[in-house]
Amino acid sequence: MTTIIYVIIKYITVAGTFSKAFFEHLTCRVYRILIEDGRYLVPTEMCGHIEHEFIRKKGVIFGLCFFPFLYSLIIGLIFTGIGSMNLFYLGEFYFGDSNVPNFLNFAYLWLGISFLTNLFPQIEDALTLKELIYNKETNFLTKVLASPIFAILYCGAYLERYGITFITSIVFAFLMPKFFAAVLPSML
Amino acid sequence: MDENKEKLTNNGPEELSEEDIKIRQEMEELAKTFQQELDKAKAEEEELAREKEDEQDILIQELDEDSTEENVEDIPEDELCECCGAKRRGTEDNPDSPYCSGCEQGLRRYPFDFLNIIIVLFLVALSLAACVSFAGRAKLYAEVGRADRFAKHSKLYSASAAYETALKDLKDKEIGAEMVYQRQLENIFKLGTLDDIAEKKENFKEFEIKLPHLRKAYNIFKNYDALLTTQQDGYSYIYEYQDVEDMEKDFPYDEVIAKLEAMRGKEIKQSAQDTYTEDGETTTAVYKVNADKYDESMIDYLEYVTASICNKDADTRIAFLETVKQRNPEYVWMYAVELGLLYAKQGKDTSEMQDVLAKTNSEDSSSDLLKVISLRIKGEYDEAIAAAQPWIDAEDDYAFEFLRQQALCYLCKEQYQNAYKVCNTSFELYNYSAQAYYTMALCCCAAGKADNYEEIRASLESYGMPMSDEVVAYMNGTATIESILTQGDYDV
Repeated sequence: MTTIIYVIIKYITVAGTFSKAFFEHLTCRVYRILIEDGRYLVPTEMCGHIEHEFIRKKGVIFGLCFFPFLYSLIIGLIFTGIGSMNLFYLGEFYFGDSNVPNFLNFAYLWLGISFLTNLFPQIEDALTLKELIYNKETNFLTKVLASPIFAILYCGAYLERYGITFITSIVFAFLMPKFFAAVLPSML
Repeated sequence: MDENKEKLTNNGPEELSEEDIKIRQEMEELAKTFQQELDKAKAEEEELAREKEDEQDILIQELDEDSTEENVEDIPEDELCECCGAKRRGTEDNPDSPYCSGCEQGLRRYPFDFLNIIIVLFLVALSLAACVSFAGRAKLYAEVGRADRFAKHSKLYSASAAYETALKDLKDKEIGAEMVYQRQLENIFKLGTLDDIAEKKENFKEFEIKLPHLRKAYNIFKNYDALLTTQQDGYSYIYEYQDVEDMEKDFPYDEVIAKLEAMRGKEIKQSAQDTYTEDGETTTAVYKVNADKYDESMIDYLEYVTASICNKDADTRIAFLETVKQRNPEYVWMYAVELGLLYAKQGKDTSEMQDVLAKTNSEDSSSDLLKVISLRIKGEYDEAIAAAQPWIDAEDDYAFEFLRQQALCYLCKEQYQNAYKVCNTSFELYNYSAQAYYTMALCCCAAGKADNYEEIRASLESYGMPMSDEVVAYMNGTATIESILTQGDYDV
């Protein structure tokens, strides 16, 4: 059941799913990680992820978890920002005075939610990250510095596994205009 | 046999019978024979195995000599490369790898599909375009944000002005902004400037006004229609008797109140949608909300107006306005100032109404004006003058009224020259109301400025307006400043 929900959400947010897998693929290429299954949209738990070899280096696993997250986050924030501001804040539902819906704004919002839904690594990678960073060999400073981003990635991986990131990204899209409305007048 | 064996183990050799000893010897011989046969069979088997191994070694050596590639058929299935299935798995670096060295190299450089690259590049380009678009609109977002901030801090006048500026800029750029119009509508409704609501109707589409995201706007339009229709129909009953000379005696108060009461719960006749014809083509207005029933609060308010016209006692009037307050506390613009004034004239505490007014719109001077009037009526003239000063210094739009109140305070304090001076400043700021003329006339009389009084009287005459009874009485000596300003209506 969990997998069915997961796969359905992955297909609803296909743009983000696809891009996240692409960015994982790109990171695997950069780090020369062996890819075992390079299909992006396979209807299993691996949907939106790349099946790769077991990683034994903490730098590599951190890069694989963090960089695709970062790319998707940046692009997701941009899309969500303009989509939610135009739709929820201004209410630009139509082109000018016409009755033609402003598809671009709706597309921006959907893309934004899609990207933000698919930010996190797969649980196996998050667990590997945990094992490699939080062991006796890693120094204390590294553990402390990595802890915020690790916490986000680790919790996010579990939320994404159960499809909860879809809800959180929709809520985020609703709240984003409040943030901009508070910040922008002071900045401009 | 087992029995014999038991005997052998349990009993010592001393206890064995002759028969037992015989059996034991036979068995030992038998075991010896078996052992010899077994050793012989084992030796033969080992010999055979050694011969077979030698044969295999010869074969492999022969194959190695011919080619370096392993024959797929000779590799066990579980040792084949998982990827190509044609070579033995394992590499030099990682013998346990499920892939052959060639495949492992390839999988570490897993190729991108050309279409995938195109799709991702398109998405990245679109995000850049979105970023540029966001940056281009940032100023507009900030303008709307500023208006929202004013509204949040109950600065309704600033909010209204900021919304208008933002909406104009949005319209210039042909950006539809229904949510901003909705927020401006909420702001206008709080201010009570109902006439401005009608103008906003055209910015909403008829087919979507009832949708949840525009529900607030829909309710405001509906309330507006109900208020307006109630006001129009209710005033029509009052205007019927506008020619009555003595309102207090001849105005049919009970009849009008009964007519107004009859409006309660009554359905409003649905008016046709606005249509206009241009070049022979008839167009229906984009949107029109029709209220179902008359607004109860407006009926209460009209009853208060009727009571005021008929000069009914303050308690009756207060009762009508308090009903409005109970029914719709958010209709501050309808009841707060007038209820506060009635409380002040009754010597009641006005702080509740002051708080309501200040909380609704912190930029509205009505709250402090109510305080000034209340203090003046209580006879605390110095406090009233001091309370009025900040609004005068701030050059508020209603500074003229604060100056007028200061002038009335000075009159009560018998500082007539000060009263004249302050009233003159007020008159210069705003002299379009009868009350401004009357106050100025009273100050002129009190300060002994007969010429100026004549000027004021002449001006009023030119507008066809009579001088107020209070000022005439003061001129005739039948009334004093004290009797005018500390009794009855507490004003000119």
